[in-house]
Amino acid sequence: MYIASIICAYSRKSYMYTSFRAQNFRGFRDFELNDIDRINLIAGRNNSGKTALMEAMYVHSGNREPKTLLRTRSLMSFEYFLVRGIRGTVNSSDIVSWSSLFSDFRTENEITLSARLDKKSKQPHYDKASVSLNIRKVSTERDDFVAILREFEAEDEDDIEILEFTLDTDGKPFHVLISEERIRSSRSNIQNLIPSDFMYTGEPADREDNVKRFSNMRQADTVSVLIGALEMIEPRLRSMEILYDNIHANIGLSQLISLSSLGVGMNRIAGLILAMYEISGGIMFIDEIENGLHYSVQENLWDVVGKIARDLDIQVFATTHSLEMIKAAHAAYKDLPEYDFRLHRLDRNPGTDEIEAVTYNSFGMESLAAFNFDFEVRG
Amino acid sequence: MTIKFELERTTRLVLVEGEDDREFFSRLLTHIESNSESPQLVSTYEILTYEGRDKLAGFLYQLAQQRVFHGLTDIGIVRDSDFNTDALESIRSSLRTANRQLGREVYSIPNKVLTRSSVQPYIMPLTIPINSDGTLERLLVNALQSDAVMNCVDKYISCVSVTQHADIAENRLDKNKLRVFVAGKAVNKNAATNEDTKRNHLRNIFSMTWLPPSFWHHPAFDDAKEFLTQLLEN
Repeated sequence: MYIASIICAYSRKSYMYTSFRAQNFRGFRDFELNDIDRINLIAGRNNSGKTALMEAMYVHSGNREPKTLLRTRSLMSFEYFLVRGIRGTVNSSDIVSWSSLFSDFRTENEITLSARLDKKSKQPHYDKASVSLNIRKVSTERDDFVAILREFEAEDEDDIEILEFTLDTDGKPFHVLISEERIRSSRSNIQNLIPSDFMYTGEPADREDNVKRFSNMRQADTVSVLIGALEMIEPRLRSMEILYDNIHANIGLSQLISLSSLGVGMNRIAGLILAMYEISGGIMFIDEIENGLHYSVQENLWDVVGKIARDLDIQVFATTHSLEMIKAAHAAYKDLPEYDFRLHRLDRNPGTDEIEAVTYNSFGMESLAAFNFDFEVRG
Repeated sequence: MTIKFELERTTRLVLVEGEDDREFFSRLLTHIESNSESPQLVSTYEILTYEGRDKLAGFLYQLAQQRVFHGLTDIGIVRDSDFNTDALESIRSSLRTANRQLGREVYSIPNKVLTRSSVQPYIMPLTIPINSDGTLERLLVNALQSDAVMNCVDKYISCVSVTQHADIAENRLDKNKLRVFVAGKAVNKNAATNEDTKRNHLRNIFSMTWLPPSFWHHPAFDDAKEFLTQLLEN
């Protein structure tokens, strides 16, 4: 089994988010998440900000390419598919404004995303205990507006909007331009703060990405991890290989069968594990992690995700609407020597209309089972 | 168990160990409120059960995570004094554990029973009985002691002890006395109804038809009344 190939490094901890604050981003006027650990599950009713929180962290961690910004739900998912695979410069005739990135569409306010990182950082440029990212819409009244336009070799047109990103660790602003016809970034090579990947629900894994990632696993002789995880769902799985530019599986039939033919659950888990092996030392974001999975494999999934996360030093954030998924996570981790799981429940405070977070540690998860204080995760 | 706050603006809570305690304190409150000489009590309180002393710390942890918590001004915590244990210290320990797990000093720690802690939400503990070992049942036995049937119960227990050469289990004595007492009441056709005989839980004593109106006036309940009045006085 693949488990034997993974050495759990409980004592090894590198940089991770330990707290995060989002101001004026999407539905968050001023939101703070504390007590973040290695594996984090975010629960809450619909429109409580679960996915938006992960998107804020995704952008903060360094994914500020136009492609990433387009992926945020505020700009409608179908537009993302228009630009898949195109890096640096993308085209869309439907995107008209950045305003939906801003809380209450108030583009005159500045978005601030800030985080505290684990001080045990091993990588020199992450030594700073906190990192703050400011995002603002560049006013056409600004003295340097024309100069910024020149970065894009663009003319001053009515429909142009420019976003400016400033990271307090580097100070050099980075611009993204949106117009009726195109979206472009001012730099093609952007240094990510932390490597990360984001799995949206209902978004099929990119076949080319998967093939490349599978080849990397093959080269590193770690495919057994992938097969071991997928055996949870398909016990007949014997081996996997690339045929005709696609990943195929041997499940004992007369022919190999393409991975994409093996159902949502298989593809979700395969996509997740392949993605995690690409972002060693980084962050994995998973939207609606229970999607496509039978409840009987949920605890096993957490077991696999936890082991890979610890082995590859990855921090995991996932959202869920499933109480079973929450219970499965606690069951998978409660007997480990170091409990590194946190449940974060997001709720909108009816008094202030602000989104607030409540975090449960091991003690909290145990008592949650005894006292269910009207705990709601379903929308 | 699922706990829902019935009142959106609950400001004061009475936390009790179990359903018997909840019924007792609920009835006692009704008695206090119906007594014209009693002080006016606030209307926004709730009585919640924490399902036994071992779960108090977990209950307090969860409670602090609820939105309603920020509006709380007073929390009364009741537990049995039990036998050969420091019940007050047990409550204090549960509060400290909850604070430690929450990572902040959410709960202030009270020093004495029937005395509020110093910081809001004010915590007021009550151990019953206050000055001796025992449980809620001790209060009830004391309140029913003047009933002639209780005299029979004492003789019955004594008889069993002698004939069976049995050591009396002190920690179960009051509970068993009450069971025998209720059974003794049920023997009397004119005193107990058929409905009375079907009620098996301790908390059902409070709705027995033979319970005298003077029951809730008994001095055995004075500490509990003082606790509720201090906690919930308007």
